Amino acid sequence: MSSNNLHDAFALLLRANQGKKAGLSGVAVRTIRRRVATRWTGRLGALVAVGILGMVALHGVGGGSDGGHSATVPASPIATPTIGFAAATFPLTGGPEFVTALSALRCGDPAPSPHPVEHNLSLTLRLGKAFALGDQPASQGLPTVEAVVREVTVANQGAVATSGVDFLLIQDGVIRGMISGEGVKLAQNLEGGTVSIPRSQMLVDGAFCSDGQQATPAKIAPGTYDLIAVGRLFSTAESVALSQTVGDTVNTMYLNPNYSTDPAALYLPGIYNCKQARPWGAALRGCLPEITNSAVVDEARGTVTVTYRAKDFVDQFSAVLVSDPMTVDLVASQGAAVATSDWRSLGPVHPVEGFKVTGDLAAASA
Amino acid sequence: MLTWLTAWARLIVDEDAAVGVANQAVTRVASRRKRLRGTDLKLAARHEAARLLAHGMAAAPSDHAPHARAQAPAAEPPAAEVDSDAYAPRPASHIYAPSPQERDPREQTTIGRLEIALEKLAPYERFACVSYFLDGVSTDAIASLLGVPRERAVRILEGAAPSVARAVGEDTIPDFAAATDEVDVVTR
Repeated sequence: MSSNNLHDAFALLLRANQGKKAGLSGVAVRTIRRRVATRWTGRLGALVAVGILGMVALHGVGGGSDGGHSATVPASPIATPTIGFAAATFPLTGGPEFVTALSALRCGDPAPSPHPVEHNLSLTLRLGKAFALGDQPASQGLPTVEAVVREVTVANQGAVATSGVDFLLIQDGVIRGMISGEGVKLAQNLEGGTVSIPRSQMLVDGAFCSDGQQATPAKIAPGTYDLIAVGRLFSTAESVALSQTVGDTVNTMYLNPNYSTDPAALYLPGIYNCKQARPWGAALRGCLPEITNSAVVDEARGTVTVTYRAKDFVDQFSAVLVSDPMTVDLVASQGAAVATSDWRSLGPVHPVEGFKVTGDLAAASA
Repeated sequence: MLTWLTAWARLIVDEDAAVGVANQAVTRVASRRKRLRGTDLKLAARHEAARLLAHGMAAAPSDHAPHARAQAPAAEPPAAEVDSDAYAPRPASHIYAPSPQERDPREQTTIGRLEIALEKLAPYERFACVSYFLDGVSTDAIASLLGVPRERAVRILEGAAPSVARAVGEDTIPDFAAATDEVDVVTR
């Protein structure tokens, strides 16, 4: 090609642009100074508060100068003094719970056994509300299948997160393809919250296989498959703190440690990378101090500490749930998938080899 | 990737706009194709950024609209070589011509000269040049991105390429009207 010199010159200019160090603006510098001042003021304030609390506690235990006085003081209705907040410290790269359950699975692996109920939570599949048996596949765009997360009892679970509910296509007891769900949700709706597979993805062309790094088309043939949903539900101090700090309104995709934003970039408060990520709405742990004054990054340890309201953290757990299967007919991209039956119609014995029907399934399908 | 994409967009628009476009492109691609990773994600993001630019800040004006470059002051004609002691009438603007010491230091390097040449182009011309020379996008694809007929894309490239080529010392201007398969697709 005659324009090799031009290409090389453009490539060099691009490289030069990449290497340009963006200096902090005056506003950013002022913001950092203000934050540092606020942080130190906060720490000093906390130290003073701890000191006062300590003195009060000592006074209470020792009964002050009059040792006999304490015996006559009625017990406090609150057994342990609490201000209702706790601190969560977690790695800047995130806890392992944020990695999807799907990432450990590969096409060709045996299908996981159904495990639809754990830790008072259930994961089930159902036909989408806008699609009923016998519908013609002409109604494009409507959801066909939904994974439903629900609390089994009314016991308070606190804030429960999910690293994503995804779907597996099974044939002959083997994983043939995968369909992506919706990714991280910091506060999963436990009263029937759903993750839908749009009709556009319920096609043989929509399925992929992942090696944990890259996804490639599954290249499966049209036919009958069993569809199962797989998802990790968990509650950790980190998930609760993040839920309260950033909510689900931001781009939570990059909370999954497997989705690194820019491996070469260091995301720390006040630096250029966080400024770049801001309009992007990405929930990056290293940038949390820019969102809340209660977050502090320990750069040396690679951790961030965030305070959170303790009432939302009831029980620490991490559970991978696997729904019971639903039979679906997948067609090529010109048509659409048709769910041929609800999983309940399969009865307690599953027709596909490789699945072990558990007591839970039998009980649930009864 | 965001840094790379911003640098790419910076070849076409200013810093703030480049940051905005890069962020928007990455967000869109990430939302739409969650499973893309590595090079695929990078290419998809660049394509999305190109699309955003071609329909936004680097959109080609209609044929009837005043040409962006036509509104800029015409380039100064090269000054004739004259004896330094002799008086010669010159354009009035020449009085303010910078001395060699005041010249843009970027003129000393190839990429500096390229940067200067790009600055003198309209955003859609920069877009066409970056797409063609850096990304290896064909004339047809550039026309499609800009939403103009192929002939118009050829004219845009033919109008912008000479100054860019001069800046890097390239004598040969490609035949932009040639068939698509004559252009190598370069992906970096």
